[in-house]
Amino acid sequence: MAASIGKSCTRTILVHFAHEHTDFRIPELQSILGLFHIEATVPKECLKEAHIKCKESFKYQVTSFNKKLNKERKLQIIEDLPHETLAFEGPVDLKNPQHEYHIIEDYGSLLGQPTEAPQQVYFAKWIADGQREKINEFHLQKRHFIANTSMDAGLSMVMSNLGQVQSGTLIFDPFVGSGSLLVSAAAQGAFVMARPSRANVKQRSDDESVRANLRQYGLESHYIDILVADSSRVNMWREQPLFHSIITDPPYGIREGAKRIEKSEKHIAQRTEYHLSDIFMDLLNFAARYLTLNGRLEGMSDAELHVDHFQESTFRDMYFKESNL
Amino acid sequence: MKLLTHNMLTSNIIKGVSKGFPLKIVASKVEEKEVDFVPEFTARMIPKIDWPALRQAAADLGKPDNLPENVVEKYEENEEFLKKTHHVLMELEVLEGELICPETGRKFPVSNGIPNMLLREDEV
Repeated sequence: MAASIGKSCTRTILVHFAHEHTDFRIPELQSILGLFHIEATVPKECLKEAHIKCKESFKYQVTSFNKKLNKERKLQIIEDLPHETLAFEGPVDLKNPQHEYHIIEDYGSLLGQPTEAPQQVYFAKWIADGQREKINEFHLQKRHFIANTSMDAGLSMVMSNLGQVQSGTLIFDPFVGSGSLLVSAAAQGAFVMARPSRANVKQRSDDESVRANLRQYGLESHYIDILVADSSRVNMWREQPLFHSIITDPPYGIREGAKRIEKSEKHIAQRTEYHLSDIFMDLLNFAARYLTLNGRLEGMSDAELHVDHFQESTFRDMYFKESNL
Repeated sequence: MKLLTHNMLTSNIIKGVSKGFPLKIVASKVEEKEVDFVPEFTARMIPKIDWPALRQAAADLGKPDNLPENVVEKYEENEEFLKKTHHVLMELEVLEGELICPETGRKFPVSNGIPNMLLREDEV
């Protein structure tokens, strides 16, 4: 049950009461407002009444989590509602209702093992759909080309949001693998450029590329370029704030090893280990030069690491003695 | 490689090179590919573009007449200009060829549309 406060300023505030002493709700709210000298118009009755008496069309919808309910059961649930209390005065409209009320039954979080009875039952008004479906749309299982460290679709979207990826902006990933982060960014309308984490892009077949992944979602128009380069050489770019966001999942050596080219006396070891602290330093240098004003650098880290050379080597030694770094 | 990318690349990574821009393009395979026109994106890119370098790049690809000599005033509202710019920035792709450092003549290959800016160990 809730009461709405409004009009005093241009805002309307929804107040949700946790206690069950319904008679005291409005008076209590008025007292507290008075205590803090807050001017507000408090409705005389709780919102429930306003909903019930609004005479607009409505329908009920039953949704269940972790268990499928058949039509009969759903109908039963609707019939069992306390219709004396929920005495909506508007007509029922199943096709185009003005209001939708959902009964949501939660059968626990153990997948495939629903609890006997629902753990929780919610009754709520539908306000808007979320974008959860997008996670399925971009799910890695349906993606043609993935790498062993491809970023999960949901997480990629979260990173896009954290990086404030916007439509019509230029985004760069300096350590791209299969391009999961770029798929999310392009889906938001951004244009994407990248430097592959590994230089062997040419060995891949034509349909196994960042570009092909974007194409799969009809986003090829948002692909700018991939270029093979050494991420430690930040002066490869013309000095200019180019990128609106840099989003990346750098190779910390935990999931995917990092290499870079360095001068060698013996001309044998062309690539040396690329230390975490150096990766950070290069990323920051790069971001400082090429991000637009208020642009964002967003990086994923697998573990809590200290950007300290000694600690980092110890960490690596502990976990990756056998690896091929 | 699109010309938008080319417009951002330098060869300053080579030891001793300080003005490795613009890289000359010698293309053996160029493709024109239609890309959705997003005016706000093109308009956002224009201030970042080195205009003479873009015109030169277009000329290197044998498309010299597409762009006016200078960025026009109020380009944000000039759809015709934005479309032309969009075409040169986004729809011309160098698939095979070389990018040449203006100071040293060092060649960076473009293969399968991907420029390779890696240096040999004795160049770093």
